[in-house]
Amino acid sequence: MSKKEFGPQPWLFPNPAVLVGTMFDGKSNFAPYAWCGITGGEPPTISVGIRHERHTLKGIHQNKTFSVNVPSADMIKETDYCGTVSGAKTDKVKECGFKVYYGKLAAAPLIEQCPVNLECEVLHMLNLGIHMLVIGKIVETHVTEDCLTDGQPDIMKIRPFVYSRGPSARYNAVGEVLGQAFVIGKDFKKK
Amino acid sequence: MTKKKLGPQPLLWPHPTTIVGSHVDGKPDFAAVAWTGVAASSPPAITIALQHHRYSLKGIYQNKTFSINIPSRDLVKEADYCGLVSGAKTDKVKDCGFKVFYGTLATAPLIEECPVNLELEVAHIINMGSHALVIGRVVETHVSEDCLTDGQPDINKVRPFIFTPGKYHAVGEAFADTFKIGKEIKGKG
Repeated sequence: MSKKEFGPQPWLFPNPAVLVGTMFDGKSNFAPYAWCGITGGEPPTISVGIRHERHTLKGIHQNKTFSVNVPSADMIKETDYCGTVSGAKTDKVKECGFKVYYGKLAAAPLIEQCPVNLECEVLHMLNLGIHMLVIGKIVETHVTEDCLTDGQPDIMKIRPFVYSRGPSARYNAVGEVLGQAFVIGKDFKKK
Repeated sequence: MTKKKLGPQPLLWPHPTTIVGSHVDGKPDFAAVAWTGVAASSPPAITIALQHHRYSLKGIYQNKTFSINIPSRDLVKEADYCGLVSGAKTDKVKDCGFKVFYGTLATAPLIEECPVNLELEVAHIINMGSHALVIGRVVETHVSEDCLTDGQPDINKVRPFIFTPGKYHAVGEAFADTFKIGKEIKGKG
């Protein structure tokens, strides 16, 4: 198997696609991010890598809160649109027809149409070069009732999608089940 | 649309499935990690969250280097196995039949069978409570030649998969181009 070297690249496959919600000067704004990950389980925390010049980061500096909204595949156009225009110049809520609501945090706007919404308070900010790594503590989780099975969130009902780079950057759906986690590997042992 | 509140949950879906490599006491070890994300692009940095007792974390503290290997769906059993057993008790390289190679870093073991391999140096470690958040700088990226299209990695050839509590899912078909499909929205409101 031959390998090709590309130098340092942030190539993690796949990346989630989420809409980060913030307030800046009292106005809500949403922008898509793929560079995010869970950073701890107890307490639950999450990170998002955001370029310093982004309008989203201004809102985070102002209020120290933000939201992470997981869109379903039906919302792909809206999600992509939010990444092509700046909240400084556009009212993305109006353009996309988002229904905005709030939970515990007054400055973490949530999108009702997104099946999963996380409210986050900033714990750490780390300057990593052209990006600021924002680490937030998740203070509340909202899931659309239709997306639950036996009271638990169901990925096939949430229908999130993934972002990847490559010959052309694109969005992929989440596909079929390959196996049960912590079961499929259980009896596996190559001699 | 009614919503149910579940309290604070680490519910960021979907999670990638990765196999993190490190050297513990001079021996390569691999562990399955889903709590990972890109942190920055220039210089490229990636986060992984590991519980403090994890064997692979010991190796990361010892050498300040690690690897992230992206398995294709053909390696779902091997990846799951690497999340089930501890390197303290098992030789996962032998059990899984991994061909291990090295690039720039002498203590960041890479799995040849995985289509994408990243070599990382530790930049920061933050104690997040139950987990240590390791932020690594990517120093080299290796991609299997047969997973490239026009010289770039192609997700449909890499065939990575997704972890959820309970199930692994394939990455499905590509259904839209980024920064193109959204242009249809303009002026809708």
